[in-house]
Amino acid sequence: MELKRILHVDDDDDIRTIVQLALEVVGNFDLRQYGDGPSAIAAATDFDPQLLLLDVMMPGMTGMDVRRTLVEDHDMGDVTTVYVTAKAEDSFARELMDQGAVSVITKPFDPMTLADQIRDIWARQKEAA
Amino acid sequence: MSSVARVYKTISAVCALAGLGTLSVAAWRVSAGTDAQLGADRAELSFVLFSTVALLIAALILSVLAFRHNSRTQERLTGRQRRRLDFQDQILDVHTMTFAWDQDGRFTSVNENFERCFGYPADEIIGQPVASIYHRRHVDSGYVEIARALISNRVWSGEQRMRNRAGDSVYVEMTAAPETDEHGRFAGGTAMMTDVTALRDAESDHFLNAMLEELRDEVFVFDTQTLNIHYMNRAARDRCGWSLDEIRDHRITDTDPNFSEAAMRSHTQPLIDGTKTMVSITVEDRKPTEITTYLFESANGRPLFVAVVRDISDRQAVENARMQSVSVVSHELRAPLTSIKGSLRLLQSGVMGALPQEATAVVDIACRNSDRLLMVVNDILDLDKIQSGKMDFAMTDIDLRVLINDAIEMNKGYADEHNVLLRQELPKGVDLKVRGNADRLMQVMTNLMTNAIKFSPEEDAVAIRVTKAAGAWRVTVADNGPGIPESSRKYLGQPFAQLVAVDGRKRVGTGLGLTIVKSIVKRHNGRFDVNSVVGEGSDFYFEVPAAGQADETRDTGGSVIAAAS
Repeated sequence: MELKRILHVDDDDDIRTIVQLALEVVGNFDLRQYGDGPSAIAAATDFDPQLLLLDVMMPGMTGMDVRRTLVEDHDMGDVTTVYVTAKAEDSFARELMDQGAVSVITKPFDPMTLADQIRDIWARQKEAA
Repeated sequence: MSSVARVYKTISAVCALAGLGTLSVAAWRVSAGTDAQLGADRAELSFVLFSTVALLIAALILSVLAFRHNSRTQERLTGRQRRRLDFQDQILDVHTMTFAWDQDGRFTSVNENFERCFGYPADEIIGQPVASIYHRRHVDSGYVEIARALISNRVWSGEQRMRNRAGDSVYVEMTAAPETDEHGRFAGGTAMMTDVTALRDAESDHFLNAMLEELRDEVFVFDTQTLNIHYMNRAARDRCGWSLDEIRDHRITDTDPNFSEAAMRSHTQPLIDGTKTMVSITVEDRKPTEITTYLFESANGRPLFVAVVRDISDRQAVENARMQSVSVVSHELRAPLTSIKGSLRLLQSGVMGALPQEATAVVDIACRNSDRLLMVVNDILDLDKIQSGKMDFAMTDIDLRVLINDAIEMNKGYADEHNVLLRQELPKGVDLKVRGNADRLMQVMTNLMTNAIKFSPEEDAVAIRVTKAAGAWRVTVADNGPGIPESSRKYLGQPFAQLVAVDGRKRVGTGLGLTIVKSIVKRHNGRFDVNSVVGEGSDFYFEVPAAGQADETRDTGGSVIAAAS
C-alpha cells in the first residue's frame, strides 16, 4: 500500500524530531518536514502532499499564510489541512476551522497516538464526503 | 474770777480747739476784760458768735445738700449698670449656649440654647457629668483640659468637639471661667458656647467640592426625571466646553452626540426600582470608558443620578498586556512540553528500543511530572479564560444521566489506577435535565471525581449521587476519605490552596481544581459547597438550575464557598 504523504512545517527542531518519530516510525507515513513556510512551499508541488500538518505560530509566514499560498498559488485547496497549535482557546480553534482546517491538534500531543489521530481525521473526512 | 468770766474762758478754749480763732480771741477778751469794757466786748462777741454760728449752719446745710445730691447720682449710675448687665445676660442667653457645673464636674444649669443644640432637656442633663457631652475619645483633650485650667483659676477659651444626644458631632467655640465659693475655693465653672458646626460642615463641603473639581474622572449630577444637569465637575465641563453657569441649561443627553436616552433609562431602571444601588457600563465610542451611576437624594429629597465617567484606556491596555502574557506563557510552556513529553512517551513506549529496568522507572517519574506540569499550565489557562470571560459558556439542556455516565467512563482509568470503584446513585424515572455547558460541567465532574479518587482508601468506592434541590439538581461526589477539618474549609476553592488532609498525606494536584469548579458553577448561577466529617469522608456537591429554571434568580446564600466569591 502506498504511504500517505504528509507535509509538516514547524519552526521548532525538537518538535519536528518528535513528529518524525511519531509519523514515520510509529505511523509509517511518508513525511517531508520544513522549518519555515517558504521552504515548504518551494517543495510542495514536487512532493504533492495529501495532508498539510502546519504549526500556526511561526516567525515570518504563519501556518495560515502557508496554507493560503498553497491554495492560491499551487492549487492545493483540496488538500486536507490540520493545524498544530499551543493556543488552546476554543475560539481560536474555531477561527482555524473557518480558515480551511479540518482539525486542530493542540500541543503537547502524544506521539504514540498522533498517527492514529491523523488516520481518524482522514476517516471522518472520507465519511463526510 | 467771776463765774461769767470762767464761762467765757471755757468758750474761748473750745473755740480755739475747734479752730475758730476770731471767736476764741473775742471770748478771751470778754473773760479778761474790765467791767467798763465788758459791755462793748460783749456786743462784739455776740456779733462774732452770731456770724460764726450762721456760717457753720450755712456750711452744714450745703454739706447735707451736696451729700444728698451725690447719693442720688450714685444710685442712678448703679441702677443703669445693673440694667445693662441684666440686658447683657439676656442677650447672651438668647445668642449663645450657657451652662454651669459644680466642683464634681456635673451640670448645675443649662440654658434653652444648650437644650436645643444638644437635644437634652435641662432636667435630664442637670446632675450628669459634663464629660457625657463629649465623644469618649475627646474627653481628655476637651473636658479634662478645661477643668485643669479652671482649677488653676484661669479662664479657658477655644474650640471643642462635643456630641449631641443622638451622638452626632457638635463643634463649639467656648469660653469657660472658674467659680469660687465665699472662701475663694474652686466651686465649679461657667461656660458660654457658640455652635460652629454649620461652619465646619461648610468647610468640609468646600473641601469635597474642591476634590470633585480636581478629579480626573468626569462627574455628572442630574435629575432622574427631567435629566436636567445640576452639576458637572471641571473634567466634564472641559470635555463639553461649558462654563459652570451654562451647565444648568443642558440635559445629560447633550453631553454626547451618541447618547441614547432610551438605553440610559433602561440601564438605570434598577436604581429607580431599588434592586441595585449602582449600575456600571463600559462604552467604547470615543475611547474605552466606564460609566458608573448611583442614585442619591438631594437635601430637599429630590432623587438625583450621580454618574462617574472613567477613562479605562490604561486599564484595558494593562488587561490586554496581561492576556497577551498569559497567551505567550501558554505557548512558550506548551511548545517545550511537547518535546519533553513526546520524547519521554517515545522512550516509555519502547519504540526507541527496550530500556533497562532502572531507566524505565526514571522515565516513568519524568512522564508523571511532565503530565503534572501540563495540568498546572492547563488549569492556569482555564482559570484565566473563565475569569476573563473568554471561556465558552454556551448553555444548552443537558441530561445529567448522560453527563455522569460519560464522566465515569472518562475517569475510570484513573480510578482503576487507585483501585477505587466509581458508583452512581441516580433517582429512577425522573427527568434529570439541567441548563448548562456540557464541556464545563464535565470539567467540574472530572475535577471532583479525581479529587475524591485521590483521597479514597484503596478498594473503596466513590459515589456520585443526584438529588433534588430548590429549582435545581444537586450532584454530590462522596468519598470515604480522611475528611476536611472545619478550620481548613475556608481555604477551599482558593487558588493553590492545596490542603493537607487530616491523615497528613499530600496528594498530587495543581491546587486550582476546586477554584475552577467554583468559577464554573458560579457562571451557571449555581452553588458549590462541601459537607465533611473528619475520619468519615467528604461530600462535595454542586447545584445547577434545572432546565427551564435557568433565568430564575436563585438564592446562593449560606454557602461558605459561594459567599467567599
